[in-house]
Amino acid sequence: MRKKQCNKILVRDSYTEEAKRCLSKLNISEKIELLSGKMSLEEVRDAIQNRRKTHYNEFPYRGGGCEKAGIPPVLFVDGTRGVVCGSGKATCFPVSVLRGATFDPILERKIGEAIAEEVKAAGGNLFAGICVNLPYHPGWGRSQESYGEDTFLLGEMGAALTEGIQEKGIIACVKHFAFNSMENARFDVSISASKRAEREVFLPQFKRCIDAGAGAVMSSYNQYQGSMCGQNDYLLRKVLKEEWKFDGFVMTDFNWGIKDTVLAIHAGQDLEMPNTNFYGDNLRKAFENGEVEEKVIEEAALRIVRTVLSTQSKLQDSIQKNIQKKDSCNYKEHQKLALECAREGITMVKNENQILPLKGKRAQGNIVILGRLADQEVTGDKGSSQVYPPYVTTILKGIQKAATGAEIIYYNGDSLSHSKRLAKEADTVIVVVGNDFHDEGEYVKSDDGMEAVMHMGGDRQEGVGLKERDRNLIMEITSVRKDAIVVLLGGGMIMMQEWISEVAAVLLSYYPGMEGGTAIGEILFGKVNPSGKLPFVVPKRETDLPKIDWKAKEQVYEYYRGYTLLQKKGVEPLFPFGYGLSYTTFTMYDMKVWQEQESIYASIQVNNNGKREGDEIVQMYVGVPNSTVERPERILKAFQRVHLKKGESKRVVLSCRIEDMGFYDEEKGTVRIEYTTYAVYLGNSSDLNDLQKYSFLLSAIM
Amino acid sequence: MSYSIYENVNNNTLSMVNVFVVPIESSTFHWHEEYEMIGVLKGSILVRVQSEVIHLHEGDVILVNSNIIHAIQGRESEENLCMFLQINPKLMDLQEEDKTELRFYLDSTSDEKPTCGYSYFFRKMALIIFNTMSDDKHAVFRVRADACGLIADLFDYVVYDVRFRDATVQNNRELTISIISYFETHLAEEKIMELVCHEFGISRKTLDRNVKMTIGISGKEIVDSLRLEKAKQMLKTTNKNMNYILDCCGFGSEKSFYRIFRQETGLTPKEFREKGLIMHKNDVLKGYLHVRTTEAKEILRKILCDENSENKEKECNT
Repeated sequence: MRKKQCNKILVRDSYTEEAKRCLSKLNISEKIELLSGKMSLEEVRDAIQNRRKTHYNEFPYRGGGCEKAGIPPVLFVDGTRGVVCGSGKATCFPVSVLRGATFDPILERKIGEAIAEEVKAAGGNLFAGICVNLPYHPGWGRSQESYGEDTFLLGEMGAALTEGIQEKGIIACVKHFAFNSMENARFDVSISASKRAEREVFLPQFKRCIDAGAGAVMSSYNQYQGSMCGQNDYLLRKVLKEEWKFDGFVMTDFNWGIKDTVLAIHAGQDLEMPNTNFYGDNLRKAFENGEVEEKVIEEAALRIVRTVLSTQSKLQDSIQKNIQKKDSCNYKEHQKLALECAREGITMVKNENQILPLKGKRAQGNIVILGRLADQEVTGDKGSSQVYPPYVTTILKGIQKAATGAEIIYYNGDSLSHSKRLAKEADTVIVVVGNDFHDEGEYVKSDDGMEAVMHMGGDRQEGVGLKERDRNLIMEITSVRKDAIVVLLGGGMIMMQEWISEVAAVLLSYYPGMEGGTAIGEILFGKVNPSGKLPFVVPKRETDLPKIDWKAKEQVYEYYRGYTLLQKKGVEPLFPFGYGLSYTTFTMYDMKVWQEQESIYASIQVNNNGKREGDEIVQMYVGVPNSTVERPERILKAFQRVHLKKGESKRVVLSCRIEDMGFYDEEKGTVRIEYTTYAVYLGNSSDLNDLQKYSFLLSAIM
Repeated sequence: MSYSIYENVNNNTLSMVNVFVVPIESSTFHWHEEYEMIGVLKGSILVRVQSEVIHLHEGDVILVNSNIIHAIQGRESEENLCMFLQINPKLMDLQEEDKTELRFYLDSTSDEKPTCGYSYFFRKMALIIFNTMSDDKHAVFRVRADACGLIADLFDYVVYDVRFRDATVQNNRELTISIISYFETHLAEEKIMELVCHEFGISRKTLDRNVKMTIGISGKEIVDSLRLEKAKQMLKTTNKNMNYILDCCGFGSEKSFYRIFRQETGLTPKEFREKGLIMHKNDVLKGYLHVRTTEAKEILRKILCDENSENKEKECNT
């Protein structure tokens, strides 16, 4: 891993000279032209607000570029769950939060490669779909676009996607830098956080992606410590470019990402996207007035050109190879990958009396499916990450495909009495409830009183439980039977305490992508063994979550959030972070911990002693009980997905670099490592009951 | 006289809708692909849908779903007049190969009230039927359009669910149909259940499970109902003696003939015959009698003109 990171800097740096040569042919105006998008404001805004025939980002959005100097433009492709460009072609993968639940960076890397192929096919060269914002509160409307609530998990998955994308010569753009975890207030809110929260919780996953070689970063709309992130000197110049030695370029979030030409360019904002507003003529004027020096413009241009050139050569290589292999973009293969991902990510959190997988009369009799979402194409929000796939397999279709010999009855659940009547007579009742694009997602700002039309998405300000309609449906059914199976849809954590004891099984399917219904059918009927793990904690009470004011102008992101906050409060969760059930049973034993060079290693024997093959996620948590500063009791530091056949046993070895176990010393401004006792835990969830503990004295390396 | 309980609704293929007004005497268990809406214009009727018995009065409306076994009976004590609207499932965009079935829950005697009220549908039916009675030679298009509007209303206001059957379930249904056809031609056989099992190579248990699953009643119930219907027909239309009839219908003993007959009609076979219920209706299929259109027209006109009735209020506009 380390070696690869060195390589990437060299690769991009080796284009510095060529980039300089290109730039030397240009005058200052032409250089300024390189620093902004070439779309019109109306074009993009109207597409966002659905007022055009073409959807948002139907074709790649162009930024910079200069034909006469041989500088290709940035060709921006949006996404997170796939490629936004085009219609009826792109693969709609499960949303990132489901991908987080796979705990499978190898698969995520493959998804990255597939997405990159589709970016190429759409004519783009940059994919702005690596979203690693940590949801401070799970009600964040765009939680679906990120990998869950844990910094380490976010970093690993984001880095894997980055590597997969760049492997194929596409520029990976990491977003939204930074602290962008409130949707409705994103244009107005100023976030503040302690230095430790900043460096230990909210930024490390970005650094992880930069270290993995990401060529671009998109700044966020919100402010940090009172200064817009798009023109935030501390974040962009000091942290990103100086401390982290980021050698790619920074771009604005769209249309409203910066407000001040001079501040932005000095702060290290390289590319205004997707149109020219504060840069272009305004930047030239600022240059002519002497407010901006040429070298500042030169640096921004160099960063963009260098990145585009390095990508260009890689793209050419890859196109050459593809011609030789006669291999164009294989959408069918990508659809299989989307299915594989859904199979790995869907998380079973309850399965009383092994009601699942369905068998015998339950599988072959009357299966009643209740809830309108079962019959809808629920792939996530309808904001900037909306993908337009050729088809979507709904849950209803997926169950039909998986069931044999059954009569399947679907009802939308609107009439409670009818739902109850159907439930009473059924052999199996499956309730499909949760959220869709109305309830959460990107909040599209309307600037001309179209509020009624645009009312969708945003944060879940009313709470993070099920809607009243869904709760009533569950309660009505559970009044006649206690063996209902609940399939939840939603891009973020959903509270379950109120009804969990009344139902027999619960599957979290997040937004499972275009093949999600297939995977759900396969899991319900036992063709696939579920293996996803919760990428967030599910508390019993909403009051166990951090306090947040969704309409705030100022919001503090505290150090503790998610499962670390529950640990600190000593509160039992309903389901712990990292938790998920399987149709087989795994045992872990013979734990060993040792230190080697700059890392701590931990290993454990994992045995599948159930009746069928399956995957388990071995998780390593580390705590520092005697730390000189207050620390979380234990946090995720490594994980590994392992596949075991029936009766098979494997030894899993995990490791964590010592420097990643330090804390951020606010006074000295550096990470400090403590040579003291570390509590190392291995197991299959973050709950103590699921973990084995080993205390280990860390010694300094001579 | 055919005893086939499968009713092949003779559609106008262009309109995909069949409408008529008739007084109901009785129809045995039957089913058809068409969705059937029944509105009672006068008197009252009994509708058996699968194993449920529903008593409908003037102003009531019920929808019998596609391929659902049902029977309709008039009440001997009073005259009735009913309007029928039969809709081909193809008009609902359902293709046979989809094996998808929509089931609507519209029954004005149940609690599952449509959001626009029952009378909305009653009036709508009346209007469609009234229009067909005009001399307009293009009425067929109007009927089709109105039926489509009605379908939209069903989707919007009435509780409905969707059923999917895979090949196995589909085969079960076909088996049931074959079994019933066999029953119809072998009613005289006392050991009909054994024969049918032998014929299809299935056990009695399998037969009952299959029949119950597909149409909701047991094999025995089907046979009893078919026998009863045949006996009634013979009592009405022939002078054959009781022994001959009970043999023909396979009742086995006089005792069970009387028991079943009484149970179902409240009369002994003799009383039934004597009560003068014998009418020649060979020209009418299964008891749907054509009534003089003028009477029907008059009733329909009244329903449609009834401005101050609650119908008007309940009518819903989208």
